[in-house]
Amino acid sequence: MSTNTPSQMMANATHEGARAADASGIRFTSWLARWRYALIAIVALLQAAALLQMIVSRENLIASGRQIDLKVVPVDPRDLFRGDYVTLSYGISRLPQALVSEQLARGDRIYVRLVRKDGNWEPAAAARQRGKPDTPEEITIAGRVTYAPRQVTSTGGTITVDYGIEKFFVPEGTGRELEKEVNARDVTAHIAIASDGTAAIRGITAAGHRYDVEPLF
Amino acid sequence: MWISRRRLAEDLARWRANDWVTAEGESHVRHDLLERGAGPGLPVVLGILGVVLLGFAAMSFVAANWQDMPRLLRLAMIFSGLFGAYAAAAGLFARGLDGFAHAAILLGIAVFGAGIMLIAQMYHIEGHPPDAVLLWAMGGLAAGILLRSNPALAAATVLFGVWSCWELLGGSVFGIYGREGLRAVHWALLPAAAAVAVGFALNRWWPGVHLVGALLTGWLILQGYLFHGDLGHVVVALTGAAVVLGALYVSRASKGGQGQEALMVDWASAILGYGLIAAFSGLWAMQFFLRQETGALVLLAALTLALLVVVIHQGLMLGHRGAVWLGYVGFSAEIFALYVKTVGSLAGSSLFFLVAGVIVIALAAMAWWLHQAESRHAAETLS
Repeated sequence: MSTNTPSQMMANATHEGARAADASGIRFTSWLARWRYALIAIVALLQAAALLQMIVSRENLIASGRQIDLKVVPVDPRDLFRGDYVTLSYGISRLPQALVSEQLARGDRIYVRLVRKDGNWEPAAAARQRGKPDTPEEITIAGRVTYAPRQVTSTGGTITVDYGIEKFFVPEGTGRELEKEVNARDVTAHIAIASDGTAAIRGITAAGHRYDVEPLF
Repeated sequence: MWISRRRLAEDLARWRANDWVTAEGESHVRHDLLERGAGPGLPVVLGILGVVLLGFAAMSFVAANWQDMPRLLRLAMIFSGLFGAYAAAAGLFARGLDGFAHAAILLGIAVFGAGIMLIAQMYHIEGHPPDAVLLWAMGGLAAGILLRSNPALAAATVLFGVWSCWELLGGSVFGIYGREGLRAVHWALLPAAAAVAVGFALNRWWPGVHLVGALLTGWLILQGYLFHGDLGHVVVALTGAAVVLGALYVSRASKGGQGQEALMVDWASAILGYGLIAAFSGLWAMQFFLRQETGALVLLAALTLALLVVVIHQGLMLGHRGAVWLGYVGFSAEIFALYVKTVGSLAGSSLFFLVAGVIVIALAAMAWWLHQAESRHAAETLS
């Protein structure tokens, strides 16, 4: 094959590359065919391991995380009950912009420092980096910014944050009852917080009735 | 590769009539066409549809919030469903029922997704929902590549698309926050798309490669709309145009070859179409969604029509029928949109006819020039 022009040379080089890629592709696929049954087992185990990891990390968090109670605040009732879960909003879900000194954007990870005042946990500071270690009167909770004003203003904008504890699944048909109690400002969420700030719901108490995440065993 | 069997049969009859092919050759080719089969049969298609239904059953089972069962039992159901599906796949492969085995793999992936949702529900995990979709897609990708399963790879492609859209649009409901605070370009989709494309290419399943092409094209066009200002659409149009030029270059360099070279031309032909769609979408948005000065509009319209004509011409020369049709559709849409935009505006119809006239004359000149160049090229090749 004559190789006079650069474009032909390049095309030839590409074809050599394609041939080599083809050969290794065939080797790989025949290897896959030879080990097919072992690979089926590996895929099943990989997927099972991923599910198991979700379970174990949650069980650990609930069992060993530090426990705090947060007051649930009412949200727009139209948004509250969606299917078989209740949307929970907290006092710490809306942070005054004055608590943050940096410009935040939607999706940013944020660490919020909570301080206990009269038995309630209230936000004291928030930053992209985790601050000083926790004390009995202070704890850090990790969240994700869902809305932040474009500019840092001193006039008091609001940042909204999700902590991954905004959904509580309830038995089918009982969501409406819980919705009324949330609106009557009578709901407390029991939260576990891991040392890295990740939060999980352990249970909620609504009008004196406690719904708990049952232990696995 | 993309030539239909019917077309090949017609061509074969013509070649035979012209004595280009011997009777023996013709019968061999027809036999080979039959041997290659016509893709998966009805039973496998029904099997896959059945699995999709079972998948939805598993997911609605989760959604129904089965509080009456102890949690351990619920988990046992998910895990036995998962292992059961893959065991069924192994058993079906062992009996040579590969199509059904792939349906069982798809069921395994559906149960895996239902498992993720169930566990999230059990622990009231709200978290970041796209992460759950990503985990699901990764499970599908692993099954697709390791078990050479095209249905699994197709599921993974769709899930990666959902994941990317969700990451871009954000919120617990699509687009709830509107254009406020959109993320930067979601580059993470590209390695994911590359991984599924490699899986499809290893399996030599071209519809899958097209699925990835459609995913990437949609992703590219979406970026144009998600970013403020004009720059997004400009980047989309330029990227699409670069893809078109690259595909044309490869087509011309490999034209007339066999084996690997013919394969390259087929690839280039497919990629050319996606590049054209992206470039046209970008140019379309710049002309009709953004506010443009008359001069800029004329320039953009001329560029769009030139691109379409080049693609139609090259498509005809190189035998890329899909690109030719896309070109015709784009050309008609462009002319119609220009007409609608200019009529009734200040410049009115006269501007439209002026622009159209100038463009068509320019096109005629360009077509003539291209034809000359093509004849020269053909003459050189023959001599």
